[in-house]
Amino acid sequence: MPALRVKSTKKYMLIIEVKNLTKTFKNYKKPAGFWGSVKSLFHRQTITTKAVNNISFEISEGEFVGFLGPNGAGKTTTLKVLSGILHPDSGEVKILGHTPWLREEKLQKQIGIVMGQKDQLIWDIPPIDSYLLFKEIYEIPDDNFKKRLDELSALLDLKEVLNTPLRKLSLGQRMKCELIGAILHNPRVLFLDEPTIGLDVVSKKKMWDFLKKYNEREKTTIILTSHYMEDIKRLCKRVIIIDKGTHVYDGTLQKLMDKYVKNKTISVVFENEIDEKKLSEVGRIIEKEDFKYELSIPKAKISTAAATILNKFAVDDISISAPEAEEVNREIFEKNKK
Amino acid sequence: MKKYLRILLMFAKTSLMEQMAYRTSFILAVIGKIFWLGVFIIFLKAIYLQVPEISGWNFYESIFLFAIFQFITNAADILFYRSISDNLSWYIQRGNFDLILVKPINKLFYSTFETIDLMDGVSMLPILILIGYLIPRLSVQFHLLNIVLGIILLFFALIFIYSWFVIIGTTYFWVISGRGLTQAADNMIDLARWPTDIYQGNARILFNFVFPIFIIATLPAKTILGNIDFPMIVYAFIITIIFFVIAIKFWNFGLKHYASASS
Repeated sequence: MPALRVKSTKKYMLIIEVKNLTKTFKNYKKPAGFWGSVKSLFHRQTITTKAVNNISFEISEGEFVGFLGPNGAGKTTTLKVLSGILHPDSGEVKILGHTPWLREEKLQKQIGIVMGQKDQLIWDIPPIDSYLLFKEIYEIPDDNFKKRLDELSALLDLKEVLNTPLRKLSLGQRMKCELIGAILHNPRVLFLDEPTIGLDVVSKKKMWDFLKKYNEREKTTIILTSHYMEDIKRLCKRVIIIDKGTHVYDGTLQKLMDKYVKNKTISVVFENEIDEKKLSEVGRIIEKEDFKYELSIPKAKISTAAATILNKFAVDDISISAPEAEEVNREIFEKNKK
Repeated sequence: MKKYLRILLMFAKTSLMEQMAYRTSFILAVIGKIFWLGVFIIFLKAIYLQVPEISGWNFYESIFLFAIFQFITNAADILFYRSISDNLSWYIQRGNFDLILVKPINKLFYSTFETIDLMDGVSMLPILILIGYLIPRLSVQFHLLNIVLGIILLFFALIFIYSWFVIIGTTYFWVISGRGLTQAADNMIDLARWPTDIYQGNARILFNFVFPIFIIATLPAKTILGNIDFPMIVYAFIITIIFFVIAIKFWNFGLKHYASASS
C-alpha cells in the first residue's frame, strides 16, 4: 500500500498533547425497586464520579499507543475527549494543534474513529453506499476514493462483500467494513475503541495484522483502547494504563511486564502419580490435570525450582513460560484493587 | 454549500435504498393515505349535516384547510420528521450520536436530513388529487397575489413545524427515551387541522400567541382562499423566525450538554 500522504519532514512531531485532563460525570443514585423509582422522581441523590483524573501525556506522529484498563476505568472517556465527543471539566488537549471539542471541520477531516460496539455504516444498505456518503462528507476526491477503497478492500478481503447489505455480513466482516469507513479519508489520527470486541480468533488476527501494517506504512498515529492485554501486546509498543481514572503506567510493554510480572509458570508432566505435598514445597500449584501440573514460581527462583523438580520426581515433560497476557492483565488490576 | 447539496442527494439516495430493502408496497402507502383522508372527510360531513358552517368555514373550505394541513405535514414527514424525531432519539439512546459528532459536517444538518422519507412522497399524490378536486367546488376567485403569499406562508409553516421538532428532538439530550414526548408533540401539531377560528377565549390566546398553530394551516388556507390579513401575516413571519432562532439556540445548548454529561 503506497503512502498517499506526503510524510512530515519533522521526525517526531507531537500529534497529541494532553495536560491535566479531568472529566467528571454526574449520576443520579436510583434506589432499588418500584417505589425507589417513584421516589427518585421527586428526590434524586447526585453522585459525582471522576471518570478521568488529572491525566497528562504526549503522543508523537506514527505511534501506536494502547490504553489498557478494566471496564469503567476511564479509557473510553479519555478517547471521547480526544476525539472531540466530550468536553472535559478542566485540562488542555491539542490534537494536530486543534482543541478537539471545538469540532472544527479542519480537524475532524483528519481524524477517524471506530467504536467496537457502535456502527456508523447504514445497516440495510451495502457498505459501498455508506462509503459514498462518507466520500461527500469528508470531500474525498473521486480518484483518491476509488484507489483507496480498492487497496483497503483488497487488503482486508472485502472486495466480494462491498455490494452486500451490511446486515447480511458476519460480525468480523462488519468490523472490517467499519474500519474502512473510518480510514477512507486517510486520517492522520485514528482512534480505535475496543475494535476486536466479540470477534473470533481468526478475525482478531486479521485485524491485528492489518492494523500493524497500516500503522507502519501510512505512519498514521493510532490510539487503541482495550481491556484485552492480547490486543495491546500484538499491536502497541507503548502502553498507557488507566485505572479508576488515573494514569498508572506509561511506557513500553516489556518494562510493564518486568514491573508487574514477578512469577513464571512451570508446566510439568510426571510419569506417575506424585506426592502433591512434596511438589507444593517447590512452588504454588495453580492447575492440575491427571499427571500434568502448573506451578507459579518467582522469577528469581525459577532455575532452582526446575532443577529440584527434575531431581526429585520422575518427569516426562517440563517447560517454563511467561504468563499469558490475560493473566498479566489480572495481575495488574487485582493489585491495584488492594 | 455545494458540499451540502451533494450530501443531501446522498441522503435521499441512501434513504430510498433503505426503504427498498423492505419493499413496503408503494401502493399500500397510497391506499393508507386515501383511507385516512376519507375517514376525516366523512367525519366532517357528519358535522356539516348538523350545521351549515363553523366559524365562517363551510364544508368545502374545511376540507381544503384539512388538505393544506395534510400537504404541509406530509412535506415535513418527507424532509425531516423521521430524522429529527425517530432517528435522533434512537442515536442518542444507543450512543451512536457520538459518531455523528466526530464528522466534519454541521450536526443539525446531518440530524435533520439523514433520512428523507420518499415513501411519504407517494402519499402526497392523493392529497394533491384532493386539492384538485376541491378547487372548482370552492366558489372562490383565485388571485395571483393570494396564491404567491399562500405559498410563502406554507414555507413558513414548514419552518415553524421544523423548529418545533428541533426543540422536541433536542430534549432527547436530557430525556433519554422520549417516545411519549414525540407523541405529545405530534398531537400538538395535529390540532392545526381545525380552523383556529373555532377557539374562543384562552384557547384562542394559546393557539395564536403561545403556541401559534394558526401558522400551520389556517393562515395559509385563508390567504389562498382570498382573505389577506396583513397584520396577521407579518406577525406569523416574525414569530416563525423567533421560533426558529430559539430552536437553533436550544439545539446548540443541547449539544453542549450532551458533550459534558454523556458517558
